[in-house]
Amino acid sequence: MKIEGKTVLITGATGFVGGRLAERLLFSKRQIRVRGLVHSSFNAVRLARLPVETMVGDMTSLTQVREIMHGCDIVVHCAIGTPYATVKGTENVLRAASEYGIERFIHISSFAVFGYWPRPGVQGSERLTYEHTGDGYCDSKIDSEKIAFQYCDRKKLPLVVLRPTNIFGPYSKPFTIRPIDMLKHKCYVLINGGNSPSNVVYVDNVIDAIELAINADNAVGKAFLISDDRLVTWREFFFAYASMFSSSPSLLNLAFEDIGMERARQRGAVFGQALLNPREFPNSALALTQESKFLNSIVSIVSRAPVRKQLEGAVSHFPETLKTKAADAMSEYSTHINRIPSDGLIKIFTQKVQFSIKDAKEVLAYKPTVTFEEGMKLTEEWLKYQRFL
Amino acid sequence: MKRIRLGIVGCGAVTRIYHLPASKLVPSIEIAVLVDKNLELAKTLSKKYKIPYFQCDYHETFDLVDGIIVALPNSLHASVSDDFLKNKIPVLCEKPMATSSSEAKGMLVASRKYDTPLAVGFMRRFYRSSRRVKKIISSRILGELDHFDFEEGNIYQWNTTSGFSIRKDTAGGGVLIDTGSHTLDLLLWWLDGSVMNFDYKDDSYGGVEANCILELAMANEGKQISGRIELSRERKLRNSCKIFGSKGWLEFFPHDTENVQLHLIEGMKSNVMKTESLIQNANDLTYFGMQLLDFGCVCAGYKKPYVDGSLAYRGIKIIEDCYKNKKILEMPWITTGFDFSEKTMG
Repeated sequence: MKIEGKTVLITGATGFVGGRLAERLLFSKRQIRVRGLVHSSFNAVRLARLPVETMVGDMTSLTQVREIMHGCDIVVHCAIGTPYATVKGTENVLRAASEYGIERFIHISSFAVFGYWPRPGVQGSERLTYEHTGDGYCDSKIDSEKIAFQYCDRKKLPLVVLRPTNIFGPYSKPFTIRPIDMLKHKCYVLINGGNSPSNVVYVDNVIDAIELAINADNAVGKAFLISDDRLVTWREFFFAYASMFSSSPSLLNLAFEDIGMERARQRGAVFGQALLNPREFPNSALALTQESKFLNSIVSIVSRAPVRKQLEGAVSHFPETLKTKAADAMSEYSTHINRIPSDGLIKIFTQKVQFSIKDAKEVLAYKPTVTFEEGMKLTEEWLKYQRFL
Repeated sequence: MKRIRLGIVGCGAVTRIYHLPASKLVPSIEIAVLVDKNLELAKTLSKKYKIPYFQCDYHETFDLVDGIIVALPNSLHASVSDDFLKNKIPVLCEKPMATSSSEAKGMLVASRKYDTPLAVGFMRRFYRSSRRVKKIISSRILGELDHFDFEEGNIYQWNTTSGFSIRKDTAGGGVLIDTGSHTLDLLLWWLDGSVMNFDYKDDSYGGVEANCILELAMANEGKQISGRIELSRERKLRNSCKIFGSKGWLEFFPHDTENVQLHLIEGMKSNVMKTESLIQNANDLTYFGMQLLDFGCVCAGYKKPYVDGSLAYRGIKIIEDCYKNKKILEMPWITTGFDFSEKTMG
């Protein structure tokens, strides 16, 4: 089907992918109307630059979803929220789409449906067996896909599922803003030398795939993995960001086997800091302690004002030399605070599968038009404009 | 002593966060009535602040108030203010006073015709820091003024009740008419000049802009001062205004109600002086209170508004001219592959 003359509803239009899709659809000067469901007005600053019909509402409300979808021809469902909101919202959007006889429903899923540590041999476009992984994000994406295919199979909803890999580019929090922020604070870690495939994709290539999926009638009822074309390792990916700084920040290399020990060092640092300087006990330490119930309970005790006061009093009686030495040691340890990625990220950084875009190429005629280097260049310009660099 | 009775039309964010709490700081005024099309909201706030009346139609408040605060979506400022002025009720209109110069002019005409004061809610003019800047410039300590650079940008956090601020038809524009109306008002006031020429760019593609850059030249006492204003709703910018003269420069921080930095060059040395706060823990609310105090005195007939509509009109005129002559901000990560040479999306 052709997109010209159609009204497209983008859920999650204030988000990273939804926002870029709205821009691209409207800049193309084709006769396309775009509507967006907006969660709140202060999230909508980027979207509001465009002539998009917006409605402030919540996708977990079927009434609101019906209201904004009325009169639309195409739905591109990009919205995510909490695992509950993601699944509930997806169900509402699918239901309304089915009721209104939507001509094409593009469900933006994720390669996370295979878990963060996919089994070897996975290509990326196959139908799922719907095994939960235990991770909230992955499982909500699995459940959402499952419901989407049910609507396709039972209600004949013309569905196409896209599973983008790790999307980077302007406004990407996990794969652009966060790495830059951590590099700025000299706290980024490569696991096992960063030799695993990153499976990254530049945002504009994902938008190309969405437009192709709208046009391709033979794609209905299928899922497609969407990624860049060539293998980029995590090492190459993070070095591209590191090279954007005038003085390249160093990336700590850590063997997978040493993660446990490094975490223990961090816990030691956290505990030491709590004892030595309770008043300035860093918030980041609190995040770290979530992994340890024991440490968490210590931190919560230390954080209480009377205990903190007692500790401050006790530390003030330490000999100056001891205090200085201990503070130096803690300062060295504290540089490691938060350097270790979360369990989910460690899995992403160490998984071995290079996903395939063969099916997307064959059925959608998908071809990543923005190379990794071009994508990084545009991202760098955006980062400079945003004053992240 | 009889207190001045004020009404507020519009129970959105600015009323809830500022006007109502600030009204408690000013003993000489009382909020007598709240008006909102959402009557439940008006009722809830009336109960919370012990306000005797709440209405959904502002026409029913004419007999209840000595003055009115208009805190509605921008597109309604002019028509509602006009109605009150016609009824000889002094108006404190939130900024921007209107979304077009013709609307703003109409408000000024109504104010004169009905001999009723029109104040505009540029509460930054009440800041001790901005008044200090005015004094520094008037005193000519900086020597001959040369240029200025005003940057203000933060991640947008203003969650309007109606969502009006993200719609062009209700807001009249984006960051320029919103934050920029403050910026231009301060510069016009401080430099006491008129805009000679300008070059304006923003990132609106038919909606409301999130980022803009305005380069302008202003006439001041027969001389030209050039300057640059950069505003953003999505980026954290420097958040200061630097004004440079032949003998030094000053730096004003729009989010600091008290302090100004003054750098005076004596020989090869640059001396930095900071003003000190006279009011303990002063913040935006303090100055919203001062604005209400001023408006209360205006309603009682004791004085003219500290910020009247005439300068605000000039600001609106500049904003309108900017929008009419805007160019697209260069953003290759957005525009690569698309043609923006025509002004088709403005």
